[in-house]
Amino acid sequence: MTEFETRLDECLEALSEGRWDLDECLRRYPEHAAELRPMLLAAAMTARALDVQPRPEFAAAARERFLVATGQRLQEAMDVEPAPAFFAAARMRFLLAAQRMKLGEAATQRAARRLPIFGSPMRALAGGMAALVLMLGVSTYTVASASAALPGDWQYPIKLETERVRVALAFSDGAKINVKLDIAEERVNEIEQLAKRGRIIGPGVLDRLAAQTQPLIDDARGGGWQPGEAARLQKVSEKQQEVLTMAAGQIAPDAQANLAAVTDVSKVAQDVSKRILFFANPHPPVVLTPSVPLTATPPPTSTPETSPSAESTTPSSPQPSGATTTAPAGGPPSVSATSGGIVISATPVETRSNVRLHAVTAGLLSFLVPGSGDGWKLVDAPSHGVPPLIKFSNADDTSLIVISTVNGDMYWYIGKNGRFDEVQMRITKAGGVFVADRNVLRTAYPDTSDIPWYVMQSIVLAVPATPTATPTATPTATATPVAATPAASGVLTPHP
Amino acid sequence: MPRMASFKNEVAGVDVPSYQAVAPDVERTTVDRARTGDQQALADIYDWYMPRVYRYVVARVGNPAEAEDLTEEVFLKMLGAIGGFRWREVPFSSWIFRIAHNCIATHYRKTAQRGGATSELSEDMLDGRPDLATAVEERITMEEVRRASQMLPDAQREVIALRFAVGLSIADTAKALGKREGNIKALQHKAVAKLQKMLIPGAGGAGTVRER
Repeated sequence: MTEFETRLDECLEALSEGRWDLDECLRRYPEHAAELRPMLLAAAMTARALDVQPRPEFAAAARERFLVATGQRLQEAMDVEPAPAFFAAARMRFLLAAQRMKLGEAATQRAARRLPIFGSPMRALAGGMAALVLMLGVSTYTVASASAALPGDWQYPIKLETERVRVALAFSDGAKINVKLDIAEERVNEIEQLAKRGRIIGPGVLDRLAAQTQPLIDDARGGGWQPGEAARLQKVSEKQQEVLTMAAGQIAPDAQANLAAVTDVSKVAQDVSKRILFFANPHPPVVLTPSVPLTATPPPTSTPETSPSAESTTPSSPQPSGATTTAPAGGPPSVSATSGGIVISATPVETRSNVRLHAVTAGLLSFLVPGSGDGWKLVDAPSHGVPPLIKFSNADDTSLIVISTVNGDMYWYIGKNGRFDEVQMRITKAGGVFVADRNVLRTAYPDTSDIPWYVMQSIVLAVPATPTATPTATPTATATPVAATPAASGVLTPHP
Repeated sequence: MPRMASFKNEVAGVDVPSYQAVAPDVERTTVDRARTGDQQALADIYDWYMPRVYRYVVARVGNPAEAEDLTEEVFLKMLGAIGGFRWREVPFSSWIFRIAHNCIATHYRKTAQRGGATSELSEDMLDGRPDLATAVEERITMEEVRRASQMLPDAQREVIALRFAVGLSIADTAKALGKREGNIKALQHKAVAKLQKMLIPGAGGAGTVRER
């Protein structure tokens, strides 16, 4: 590009943006003025000549056709017939819009108040048609005032129809999801308002909440949800449960089954959204609890499995028979009390995936952890007694394992970039012991979840020495050589 | 030449709509609402862009009747496509003129005709600005200018339409046409030089620069 061409570009751009005028261009580049002037003039003349305006009649008619077309999308989406009525509705909208502009707010309010009189003819129309007439014809005011309506108000049906229109008009899947989430949120806001006003909440109200939430669950399970959408579903479902709990006293007697049903739906929604979030972002900025779905199948709690699977490799194992290297049979390994009532074996008792695992005993609890040779250390241990929680962390403090000495529950905190995820590895619930799903863990934390998994698998909680002690709690020599050692049981605080 | 703020004012001496139809943040929120099917937002977009799309189409096809049909078609296509519009790809203005560009390309393919029919443009499309003439332009009617622009090769005419009729920047023009900015600049040079030769033939000047 020649220097002249560069100057010409510069002048054309400046002219088109209105920064310079022609004189300014010529003043800036006097050396090119003679050539610039005719070219810039030609450009300006062309721009002026092309500055044509559409005929007003065309502009008005085309606008109306366009707006009708926006409605036709709605028509297609809702499968509404017939078309002539549709056009009539569109025209009505414009007439009313014009009326609004001329007559202002007062006229619109009068029109809105007249609405109930039209109630029966409107009901005579197909549902979708009514929605259209409501949206297109009755216009913004009524829709806006209906948006605050609660179940039982006369505008409430308008509100529901308006919502259907919003869903039908949403063009993209993402937009539809967001509109549906808006509506699910609105349903719960309504229940909250009803409860605050002391109204009795009937089965229909609860069913509508469930009916708005269930499709979101199905949709979310179908895949394709963005984390933002899942986060909204989580928020909405949490709010639902909160409000349902709050409103429990005002649920009509005949609606108790509906309450149970909608509560279940809401919980499923919460689980589904959490699952999406977990997979979408394995390192969320906040601690998630629980973030890994727990499997309902309890692991052997008295005998850790000595897994022969391929994941356990023991190239250094002196024993050819299995993947797990155990302590020498026939006696406990040498132990060294490192902190109060927590006893850690001085030598590794097992090797899995090249990680040497040491046996830890605290009270009735015993488990295996990587030793100091692999950079792991006991943290926050009291000088005496058995703490409620035992914590081990790795060399760079990016992985923290926390185990309850009371019930053997285990949490794993995985740190990254100054943030921590909390993963429930092993949780005791009414139905038994639940553990994290191995495959989910590996998907989310492919490089770091093996060690916590081994630790979790090795957790043994001995049954206290009571007359009703069961034989299932008896540890086997191969896997848990240090379980329930006499030394440890001496410092145990009896648990309820 | 009076000092005026804008390109077109150089000749017309009349305020013309700014190249930016609306503030970017307003456009953004409106487009986002339109994507969710908000009818008012769609109407706003239509109102902002229809005159510009019409100008573009007229500059491309010349024939006002065709231009009206094509303008409507552009907005119907826009309606069908806006759900898939993504901010990260192109500015909304480039996006909508890309649709217009495609509509016209399809139109040309269908009719197997290139431009032509320029004579149908008439003075009544101008909105009667009184001080149209100046010392230089007196003898040139707007009709002649438009006829000259219709004689440009198609690629050049397209750039002129987006740059001068619509007012897109070089960058947005490039995005609308899916070309590089350098390419757009080169086409603009050639077009302006040709226009100057046709419109102000005695001036010599830059029209000959490229041949040096």
